[in-house]
Amino acid sequence: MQKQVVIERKIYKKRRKWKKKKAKYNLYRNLEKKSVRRKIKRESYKPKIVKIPSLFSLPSEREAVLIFFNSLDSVHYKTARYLFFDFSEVIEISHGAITILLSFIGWLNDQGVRASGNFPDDPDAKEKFEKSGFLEFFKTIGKRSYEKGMNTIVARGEKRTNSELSSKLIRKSTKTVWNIEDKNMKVQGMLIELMANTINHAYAGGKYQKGWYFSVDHIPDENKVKFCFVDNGHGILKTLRKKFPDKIASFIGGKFGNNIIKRAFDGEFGSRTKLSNRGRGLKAIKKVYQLGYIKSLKVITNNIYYDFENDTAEELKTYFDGTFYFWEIDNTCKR
Amino acid sequence: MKVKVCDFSKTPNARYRDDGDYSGEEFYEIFLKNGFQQSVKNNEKLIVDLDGTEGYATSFLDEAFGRLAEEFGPLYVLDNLQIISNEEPDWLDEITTYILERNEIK
Repeated sequence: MQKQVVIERKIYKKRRKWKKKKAKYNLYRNLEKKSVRRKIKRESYKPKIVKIPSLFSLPSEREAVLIFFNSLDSVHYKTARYLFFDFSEVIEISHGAITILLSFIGWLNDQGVRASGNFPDDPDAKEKFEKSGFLEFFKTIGKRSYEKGMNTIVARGEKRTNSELSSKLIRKSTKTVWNIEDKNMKVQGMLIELMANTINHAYAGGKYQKGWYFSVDHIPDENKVKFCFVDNGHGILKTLRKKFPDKIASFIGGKFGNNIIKRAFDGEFGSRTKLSNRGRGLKAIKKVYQLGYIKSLKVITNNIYYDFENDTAEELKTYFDGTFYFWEIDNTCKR
Repeated sequence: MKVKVCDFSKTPNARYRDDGDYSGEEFYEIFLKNGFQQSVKNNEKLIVDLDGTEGYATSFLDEAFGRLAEEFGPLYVLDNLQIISNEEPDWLDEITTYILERNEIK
């Protein structure tokens, strides 16, 4: 009997010892976890520097600019809470690239990531950068030399279309092109189509927040206005209601895939809503171009660059999640 | 009876109320449906004037006139409707297509 008690006591002591050891081990482990966590947190608030490519221009330098935007996707947003965009080496900059960057920054802000940057060292690029209107939405380190010009970057349209805003911007653009502030019904219709497409299709079931970005670049000396419209949703090719052979063609890519984008703008694909009276938006956009109300229409979506002027669709090496439209209006266009 | 879209809004918008203010859905429910019912009662055609706005998206017109066709039947609507569009005459054929593509919902 006594022997049994002794054995039980020994077992009890061993258990207590083991429990103490375990508690000590857990304490160190938790401490280590906490310190690591603290370190990660500290590191995440340090600015992560992102270098902007020297030729930051769309659609002309599309491959390089798209590679840059894809590289941004690899930034781990849980460990980087502050991004610093270094524009110092930029020598060429366009509204198109700035507008996509703005849409990206909008998405970053949604994730709680702050963004700021500096100015290009090149005086011409700096002037264009400052006059673009981009700085209305972006904190910069350094002194401004130019005030915002007539150029307007319209921030995110969130979950709604805004026909009043688009009509105001169109009227301003007709002033630059024809020296008369007037409406342009076809371009207004086209802009509403673009905004509605973004709201209804671009983000269907996606992780990104809905939104569109629209920029207008006035060039009074040439009586010309350049427009860019961007959404960073799924892209046109991903949102079409394709039948099986077209899905295969899209997968194969090359000229088969390129053909799909042309057919989409001819209104051949239905909408994902599966309603027969939908999917007219892209066709209407092409019609505005064909009737001569706009010129130089170009679209970048998924891995396709579609130039309406020579009706060519080129397969890009770099993928773009979203849709980018570019067009111009000058005094040779209809109004 | 005559309905002018510019009395509804100078900047008509997209299809649904959720898309933004001055949608095709809103125009149909507030202006077009009542106007059509009243003109039918008075044994006259409803005249819809598209001129005087900043421009139209296809979705606005499709929703407004398509819903009218769904409610009253495409052929009945075409018989009792007259559209004026001097600024953008190509909408006349387009709207006829939108109406004919819809089926009456009974």
